[in-house]
Amino acid sequence: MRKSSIRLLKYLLFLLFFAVLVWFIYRWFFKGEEQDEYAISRTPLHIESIRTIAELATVNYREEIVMDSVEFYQSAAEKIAASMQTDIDQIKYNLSMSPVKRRLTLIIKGSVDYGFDLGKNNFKVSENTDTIWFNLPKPKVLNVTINPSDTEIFQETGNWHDAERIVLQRKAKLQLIRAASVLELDKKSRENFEQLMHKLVPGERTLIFYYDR
Amino acid sequence: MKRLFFLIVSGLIISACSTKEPPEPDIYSIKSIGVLSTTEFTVGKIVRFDDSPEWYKFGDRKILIRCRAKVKAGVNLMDAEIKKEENKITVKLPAPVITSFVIDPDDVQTVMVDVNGFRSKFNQTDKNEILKRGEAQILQQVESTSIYREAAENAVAFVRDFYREAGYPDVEISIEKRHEKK
Repeated sequence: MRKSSIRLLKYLLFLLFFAVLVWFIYRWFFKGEEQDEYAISRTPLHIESIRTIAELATVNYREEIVMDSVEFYQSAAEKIAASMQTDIDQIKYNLSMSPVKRRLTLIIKGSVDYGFDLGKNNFKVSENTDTIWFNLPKPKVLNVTINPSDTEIFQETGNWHDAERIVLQRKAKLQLIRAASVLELDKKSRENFEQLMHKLVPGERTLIFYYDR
Repeated sequence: MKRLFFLIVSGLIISACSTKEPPEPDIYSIKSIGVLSTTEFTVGKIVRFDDSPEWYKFGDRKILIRCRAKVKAGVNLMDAEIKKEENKITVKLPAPVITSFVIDPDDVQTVMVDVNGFRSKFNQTDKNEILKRGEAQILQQVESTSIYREAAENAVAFVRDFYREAGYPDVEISIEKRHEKK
């Protein structure tokens, strides 16, 4: 009896080993390189509009922003009811005693370009033999970049709608613009513009700059 | 014992020969730039993800996400070469580049989702990963549009007008071609 049990165990072990071997051979020959889990199909690009612009960015500011949104259980009954749910992705969270119902944390590496919009006839240059005058608009935020490639979903617990994620991203955008204002990027932008003009206009002529208020 | 020693030494030699570059440090700072954007393309795309199931997965996961990107192109005036000979100015502009690429979160919309069988729903992490691939594909496809040609033409026109207004009527402007860029 004991002998036959050992023999059976040996057979089972051999079968297991054989199955693993077949699996590795399959992976080796048929899978090739590791596939991208999120590989998308190739779809056409639609050009919606083409615009001629004249924007001179003179300052670039980069910052890492953390946006966190958290929702707690209102009562013990709600927590118990939630732990009954069978959503496979959420089971690990329901097992813990954490009072957090939902949490979404984004880490965004955003950037702001600050400079001058020189289109729309708001940039004038006039000159005489020894001076050049530049009439410029107020420097402003030209681009705020928080693209998907700059965004990391650091923590996601519970179900989150697109609109809720967008609210967090909008807040991150506002935070970047506010930071640009606190850091006085407009002042830095003017200084850089003047330096750039001194590089672009060779000679001995005096350069004078006027900015809109 | 000798074999083991030989294996360890070979392993050390192989690992020492690898040319893995250190990762680029993330530095968050204020940078001085001088980038002139001269053209803006607004482009739209439907990002399509169809998770082809493996034999051990039961069910499908499909999603369509519509997104719009604003792509600006232009030249970096910091790299321009300017020469003055008496009253004549010669300007050599660098090759046009993408100066800004923005996918506004408000311009991203999930159009269709289909998840069945035992597959898990699309969460925000999945959607962001899919959008990352979409973003890379847009950037790649934008390269084959006329964006660089338009940016180059507009940059030359802007710089010519700028020098004329500054009192330099005799201006010669050239722009580096993209394939010339190393």
